[in-house]
Amino acid sequence: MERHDWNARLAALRSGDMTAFEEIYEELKTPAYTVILRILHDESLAEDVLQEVFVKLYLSPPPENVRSPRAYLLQTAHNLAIDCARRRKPAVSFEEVEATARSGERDVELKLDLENAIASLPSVDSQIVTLHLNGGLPFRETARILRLPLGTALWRYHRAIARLRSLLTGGAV
Amino acid sequence: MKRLFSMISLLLCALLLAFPASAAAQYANAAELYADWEQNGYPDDVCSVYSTDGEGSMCILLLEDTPEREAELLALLEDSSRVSFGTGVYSHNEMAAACDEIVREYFGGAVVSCGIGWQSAGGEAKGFGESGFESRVMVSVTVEKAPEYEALFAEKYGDMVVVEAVEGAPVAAAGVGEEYGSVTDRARSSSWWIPAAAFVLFALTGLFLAGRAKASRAAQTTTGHIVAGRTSPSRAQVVRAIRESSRTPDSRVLENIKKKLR
Repeated sequence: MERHDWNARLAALRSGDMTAFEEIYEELKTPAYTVILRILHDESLAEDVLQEVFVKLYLSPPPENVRSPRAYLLQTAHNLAIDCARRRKPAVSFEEVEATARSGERDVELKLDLENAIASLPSVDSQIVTLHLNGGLPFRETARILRLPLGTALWRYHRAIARLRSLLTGGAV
Repeated sequence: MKRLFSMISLLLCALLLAFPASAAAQYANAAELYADWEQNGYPDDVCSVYSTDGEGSMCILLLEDTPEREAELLALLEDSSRVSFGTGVYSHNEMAAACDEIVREYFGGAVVSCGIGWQSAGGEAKGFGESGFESRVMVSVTVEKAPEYEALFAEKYGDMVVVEAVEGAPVAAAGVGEEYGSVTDRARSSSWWIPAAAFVLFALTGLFLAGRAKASRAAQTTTGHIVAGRTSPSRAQVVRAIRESSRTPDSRVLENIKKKLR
């Protein structure tokens, strides 16, 4: 969706136009759902969060001066998914989950399946890859959403892709 | 039998590389260390390396220049007398990642080259940053399109990427290390034959193990898309597969949203 299309649809959405809302939903449902699903790893829960994202969008549309509506919505999706994940596992911190993934204690058998490979990445690396490649966000926006320096986001992305290549070849690369 | 030969070869390689340990494990000087990084990859905290006198004196720029890190790197060198350190803003690996992306997404047409290095100013090479010696991702763009790409890359990468307007036909994407121009002095290890012998043995071992690559299964996404057949997927294939692995929610989601909004 071009910039002027976004502006027109958001203006209509602020007036409560349901047609504009549905067009925005069709445009962003797939990237938003993918971002949420990669964090929660649960389709039913991801659908619930996706509903929450778009209900919130309709009731509180982004302000007129928002630079990137796409990034705005994907950030909302990301934040709500993270909140949901935290509520699901109150006894386990995100740092602990990430450390466990890194240590290999979680079952990360090297199946040659892309989704499993992505799921085996450290949580932040998976989110960088998903926001950039599935969300279609430039690195700058991805880094901002994840509160990382741009250089760090770039480096971690580079490392994640190399890791995925290695996993998808059974470690041969 | 093949497996036994492979094991013996690997054992011999390990022994050869361990003797003599000091000559194979360390570098004669910073120039050799730099050459190894260029060949095998940079540590994540190294920004760049440049010659301070056009000969063998080198400066290593780090993201964080601490006494401990300097000591670690100096310990790798037989001759550390001509090494100095400084700080940089962007690591080599960060810039390499950006360069990869630019080549993949923009190379060809107006974007004629991309590499990591310094800029040309008045016929001389000039670095960046507070020291004036840091590298950046240098992208050469045709004169007509340079302002457009300058704005685009500034938005995406900040000041990590610098656009240079050029005239003329495209050339191949540049490599890295453009700031390392004139150093020719390199101390050679007196045990040159050890790495050569190890290489031959590794090559022979590799030939026997080559069959293993043929047995790797294809990588397949949950939607059935095959990432690669028998060969290793390229970086581009992996990126494309990830893009194509996006998931679409069930149609009932929109219906549920509309119910909530009524």
